[in-house]
Amino acid sequence: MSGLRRALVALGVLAFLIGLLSTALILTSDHASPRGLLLALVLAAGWSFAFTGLYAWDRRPQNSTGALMTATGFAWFFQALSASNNEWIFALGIVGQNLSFAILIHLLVTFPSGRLRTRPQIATVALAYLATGPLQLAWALFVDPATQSGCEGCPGNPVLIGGAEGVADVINVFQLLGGVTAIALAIALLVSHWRRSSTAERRVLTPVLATGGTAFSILLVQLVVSELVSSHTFQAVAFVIAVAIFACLPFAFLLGLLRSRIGRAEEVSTALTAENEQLTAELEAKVEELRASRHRIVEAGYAERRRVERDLHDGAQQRLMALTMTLRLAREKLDGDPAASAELLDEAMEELGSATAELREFARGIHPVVLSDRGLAAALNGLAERSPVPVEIAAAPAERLPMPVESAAYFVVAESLTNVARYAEAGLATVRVERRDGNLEVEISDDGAGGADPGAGTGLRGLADRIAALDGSFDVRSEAGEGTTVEARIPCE
Amino acid sequence: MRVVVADDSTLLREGVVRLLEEAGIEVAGQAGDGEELLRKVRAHKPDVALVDVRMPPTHTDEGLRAARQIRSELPGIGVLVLSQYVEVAYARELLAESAEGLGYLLKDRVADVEALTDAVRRVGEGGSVLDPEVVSQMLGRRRRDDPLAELTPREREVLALMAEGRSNAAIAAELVVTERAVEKHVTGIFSKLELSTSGEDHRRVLAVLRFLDQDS
Repeated sequence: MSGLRRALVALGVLAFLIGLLSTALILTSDHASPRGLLLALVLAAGWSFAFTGLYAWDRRPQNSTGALMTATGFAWFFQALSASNNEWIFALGIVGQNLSFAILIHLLVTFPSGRLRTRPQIATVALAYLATGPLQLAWALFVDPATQSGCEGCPGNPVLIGGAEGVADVINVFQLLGGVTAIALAIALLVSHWRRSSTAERRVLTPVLATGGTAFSILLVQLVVSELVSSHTFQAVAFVIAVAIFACLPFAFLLGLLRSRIGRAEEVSTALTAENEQLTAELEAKVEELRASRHRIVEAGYAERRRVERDLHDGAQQRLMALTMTLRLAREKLDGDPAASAELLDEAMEELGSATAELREFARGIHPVVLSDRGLAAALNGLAERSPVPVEIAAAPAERLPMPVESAAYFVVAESLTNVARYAEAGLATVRVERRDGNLEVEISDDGAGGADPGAGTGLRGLADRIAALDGSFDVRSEAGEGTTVEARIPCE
Repeated sequence: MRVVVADDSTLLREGVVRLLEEAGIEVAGQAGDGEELLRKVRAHKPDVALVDVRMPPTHTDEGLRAARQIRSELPGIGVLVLSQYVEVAYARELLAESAEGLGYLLKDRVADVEALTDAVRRVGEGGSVLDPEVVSQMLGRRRRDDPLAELTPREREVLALMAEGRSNAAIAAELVVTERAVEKHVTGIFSKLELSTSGEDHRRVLAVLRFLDQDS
């Protein structure tokens, strides 16, 4: 059994036990009523969300829909905590009782990709969490349950800061506004998602969006109307209906899943559509990443050309200009003052020598000839020889590899060794380059100070892009005091 | 002393030819690529072939390959390889079997007429010439438990010049000391590095380079 599956089974067992605990809390409650209905709602929605969520999580570990469903189930059990007679458990229940609604909004607006992508989505979900999280907590600090209608016999509030009813009411208004706005936005998003979907996609979306949309619409009506009409009966009935539909939601998700599994031709196409929808969403995210990294590579290309231009201009060009002037002076002094002329010529030759040496080093930095001529092992040895910090080459492939792979590996080592020399205060750097399982694994570690920030410099970022362009992976570990290890894995059959 | 010069850049080749001729060295032939070089060397049997590393058609290491070919086919002919870059890896390849009649210099050195003619003469006489830059790369390489740390600064200078292929007399002239003093330093270096002394300069080069190259 894989690690993930073990964890999911453990979560399932936990959900089952929490359900049992909730049952005990509700059945022994002094104030919850009617107990039977509450128990049925808590268990039906809590368990069904948790179990269907874990099932979905197992089937599509990359997609966070399953995890969100599971989280909704767990958060739902807060409802049961508020049935407790113990004032602390009761308070915990009060604080968390609305959280599951926010997670559900998150789940619905991101279904089926599980990813938050657009600004409206992010705003909606953030608002929902704000209203049910921080604001709910703030409200719980100021509310005295004894003064709340429908809470006769509730335990006292142990976290009550003061009986400032006014404060609780003000917070409540903000909460209500946030909640209503979030729900309204969520419904709008669901409707717009529905309208943009193809007929085939709608078959998968229908059960989920219809049930979710209805549940939230009723909840919205209940929230708004309860503020206008203080009819407890109406409020209770609307809440029960919303929650009953809410409890049906996970089965709607399950139905979506089942629809995508039945083998008939039409259903297969629906199933494919469902999978497609999810794959497309994942693909789109990948494309977005690729677009960003391609953009950075192009940018890096321009930056590199600017650097080359500047270096040539500041270096070789200036030296050659100076040289021209020195030679002109020498020519003028040739007849009148041959000694001075000779001195100027010596100076010119020295200048020329520096310019040549500078150009050579510059060209080597752009492309190391030894790499294309003799391969990675020879080029790495050259790097080690020029490094001011002792370098041990623990392994290097003797055979030739594709040029892009060799080049990427070379620049990873070169940049890393430069960083070691600059920042690490290391006594030794170890380079290991090996072919393993269809990859070229490159590792540069040092025994220096550590604490490097891979996000800080453009050097490491550029390397990561270079590796990503080859479908490889790149990682920097640098705990303070434990040296730095740069690891790159480049596909290389 | 007769040489054949191979370089695909006519400008550079003509320049080198002019410098050599002014220094009294006869240029028997010129070549623009590896094939032509081999033909000219076989025809003229010069004392030294002056070879640029990068030549057509691939512009990678034609010169090195031609150099190896000359050394295996006509062992009596010295080969002086010139390169835009000097790499320890290439030096290692060139010196794989023997350092006799072999030179490896940075192309920049042709600007220094004395250094160039000196190198051509030494290679023509069966000696070795290794560019100071290669040597300083080898010497400069930081090692753990560095055995070179035991050498005095003067001994390091002597070691570098030995690695470049200089004779004791040349080292003495360069450092402005007596030959006797150089001999003393050489003995000191060989015993500190636990190398066995060998008489001829080009064998000495190999011994020193092998030593510098270990632990890579």
